[in-house]
Amino acid sequence: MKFTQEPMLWFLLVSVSLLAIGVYGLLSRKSILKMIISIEIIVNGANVGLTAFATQHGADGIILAFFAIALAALEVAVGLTLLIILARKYGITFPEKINNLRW
Amino acid sequence: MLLYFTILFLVVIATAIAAIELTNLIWVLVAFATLLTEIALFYFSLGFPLLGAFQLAVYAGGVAILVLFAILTIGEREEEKKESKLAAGVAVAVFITGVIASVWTGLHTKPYLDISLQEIGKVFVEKYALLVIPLGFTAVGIIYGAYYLLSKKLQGEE
Amino acid sequence: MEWLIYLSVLLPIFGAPIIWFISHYTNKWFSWYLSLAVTGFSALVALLTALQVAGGAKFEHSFTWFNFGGIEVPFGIYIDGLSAVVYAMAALLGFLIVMYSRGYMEHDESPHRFFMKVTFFIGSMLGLTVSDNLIGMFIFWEFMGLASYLLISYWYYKNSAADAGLKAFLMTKFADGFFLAGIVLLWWYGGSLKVVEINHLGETAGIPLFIAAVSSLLMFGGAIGKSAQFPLFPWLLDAMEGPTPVSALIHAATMVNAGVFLVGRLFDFYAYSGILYVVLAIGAVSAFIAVLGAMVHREIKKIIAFSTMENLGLMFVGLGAGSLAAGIFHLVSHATFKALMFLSAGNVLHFTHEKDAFKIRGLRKFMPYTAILFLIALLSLAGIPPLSGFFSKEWIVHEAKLSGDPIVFAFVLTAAVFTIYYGFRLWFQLFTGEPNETAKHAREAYPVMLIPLVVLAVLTFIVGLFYKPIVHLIEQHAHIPHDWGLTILVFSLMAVAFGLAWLIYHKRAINTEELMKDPIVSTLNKVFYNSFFVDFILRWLSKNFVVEFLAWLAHWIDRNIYDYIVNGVAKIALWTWEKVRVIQTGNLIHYLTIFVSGAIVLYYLYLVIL
Repeated sequence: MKFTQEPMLWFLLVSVSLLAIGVYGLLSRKSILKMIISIEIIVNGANVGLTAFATQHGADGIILAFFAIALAALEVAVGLTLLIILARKYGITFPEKINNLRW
Repeated sequence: MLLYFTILFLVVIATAIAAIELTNLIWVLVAFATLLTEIALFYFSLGFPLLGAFQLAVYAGGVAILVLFAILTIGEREEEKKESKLAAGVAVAVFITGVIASVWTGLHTKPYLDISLQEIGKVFVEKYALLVIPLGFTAVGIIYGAYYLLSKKLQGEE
Repeated sequence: MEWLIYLSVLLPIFGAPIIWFISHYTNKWFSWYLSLAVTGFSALVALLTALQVAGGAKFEHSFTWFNFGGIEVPFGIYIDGLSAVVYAMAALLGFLIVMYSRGYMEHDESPHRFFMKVTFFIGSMLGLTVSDNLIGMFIFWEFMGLASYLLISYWYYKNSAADAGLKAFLMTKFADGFFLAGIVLLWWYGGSLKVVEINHLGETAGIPLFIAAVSSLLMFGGAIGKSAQFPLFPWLLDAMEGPTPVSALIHAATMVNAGVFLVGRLFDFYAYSGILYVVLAIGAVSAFIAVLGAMVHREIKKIIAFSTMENLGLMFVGLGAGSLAAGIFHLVSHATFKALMFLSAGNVLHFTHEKDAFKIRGLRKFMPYTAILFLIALLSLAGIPPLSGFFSKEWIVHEAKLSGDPIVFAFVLTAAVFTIYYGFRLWFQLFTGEPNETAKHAREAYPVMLIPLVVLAVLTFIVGLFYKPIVHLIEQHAHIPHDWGLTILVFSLMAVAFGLAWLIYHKRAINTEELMKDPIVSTLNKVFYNSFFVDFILRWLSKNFVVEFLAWLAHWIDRNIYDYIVNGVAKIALWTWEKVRVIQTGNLIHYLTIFVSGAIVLYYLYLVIL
């Protein structure tokens, strides 16, 4: 099925919901894996928004979404690498153990 | 149409919450992969099949597999800690802000443009071709950096 | 011609350190020749200028010294008759005093230091007399304050000299604060600094009367300090610690004349502001105090210093009574005979090494020329015709009578009459009678010391002879009153005073020792000797009010309020740091939370602002 004249508000609502869930996950989870997944959810929310706007303004949104997907994939690769390295030392819930910035 | 959208929307929200809230990491991955697939469905429905395909390939394929691999490597179950109420508050604030922003910007919906693949390709070549070069270098740098970190770590353990 | 006038001012001021430098590395006495050349050049220029001004010329040149914002500070020269007379007189006397100093300073270790300061002093006075605006006058005024401090404490190794220099500096600086305040007030409300424009403001009543009165009172405060009037005169008496040529310079050519000159220069403004009555009163009181002090003091130079103060008081009386010419003409005539008197006294001091007049007797045989020159100065001071003092002093007594105030007239008459008493008291004591041991060791002064004295004596006659042209040069339409009755009264009183001095100090018919045993006389003597205890009152005030109270208060405020605030700021910073640093938890989640919250707040700000 194809959307043809649905209001933009719908898609923006999807986008915003994903953003809010992602932020909630990012802030409340102590596990680094959950945080990475939260970041991915936020990025996907942004991509939905970009795509929705592309139907109104032209092809640029699509291309930006492509780039975003590519970079997000790369970011996941690095994030998981770091996860594997650090998890051996601190366990999977390490963000609260790294507190070198503390006063 | 509204029905279709509502089902899609509810599935997306439900899988997203499941991906955050579940404690078993395998089920988290399942929920996450479902979410990514549903979003690909959005892309298809909006009329961008190439983007949907890309989403399926890179996200539902590559990223999900990477996460699966990581979970298998760590092999740990998540110890769930008590939740932060502040985080929930901030998330609600983000949501309300987002809704206000959406209402603000998305009030007038124009007729949808019919963007063909040719047009996407044309705009890409005209406007964004040069951006691919730094992006390529960045990607190479990131991948090499990740590899370097991992190999050094493994060497250190031996 | 204007550039020559500029040169005559700038050469002594900027040449002074050069004189020191050259002489320090060659011959120290070389400085005398250099100083003589510089001051001689200035004197020549000044005399030429005065002659041209007398011929009807007027020198005016002005430029903007600097400006920032809306403030424009002018600089330049303006020479009218009044200015030219004082200018020429100061330059000429400066030259003669520098010449005289060769003899007086013969045993000095560092004459180049002396001549540097003296040259600087003379240059500053010349600058004051030709300057066309109050800022320029103030600068040279302060230069003179500095130079007088350096010269009074010239013998810096003597405690009394160092203290006297400090006292002179502090007292004149205290007064200079008022002068500056007056200038600023005038500038703010009158909008001009130039002497001509200020006088024009006075003539046309272009400034509110209240502002004019306050600013001219403040400027008169500066003049009181500089011209040693009541109550800021004690520094003049202590200033006798300096070398005698310096005293002559301060009393005759430069320093003390500046205050009188300031009032004379702004005379139209003063006449408009209605402050002249204050000038009159201060002058009369000062003259009265000074003449009583001069009658009872013992040191040669202190007597002459009191005499200077008296004559300055008379000048202010002349100005205050409303006659510009009377005051300034007395300034000129006083300058000549007072320089002569000081330098003759310098001869006596130099060859007897005795400050106390009552330890010297019968010098006439050993110093005949000095005795005659001293007598000429004395007669001029007392006001005997045809010497210059007669014309100026009689005129001022007339003006005092015309002012209509009986107390002022009584004070001025006392001052005028008893001048002859203390003058001849000093002269009889020093030069007549049987020579004592101190006198026998004296000898006549060197020619280099006598020549300036002779020139000054001749000048005293000349000023007396040509008094009418000089008066009309100072003020074109000056009216010289004649009142034979008053002249006869003054002269008969003066004859009585002279007779008294003759009886007591020449014939020794009245024994002063016996008189002093009377309690009333000795009390009066004590009061007069200490100038009505003004110095004590000033000391008491400065100790108990300034040091004990104001300085203590400032110290207390500094320690307990300002320091407390400064320390408090540091304490608040420390306390804030202690409390606020806990937000740096090092926890990534907290940072993220704040980051997201900040983003939301920024979004709402964006909505509100647009």
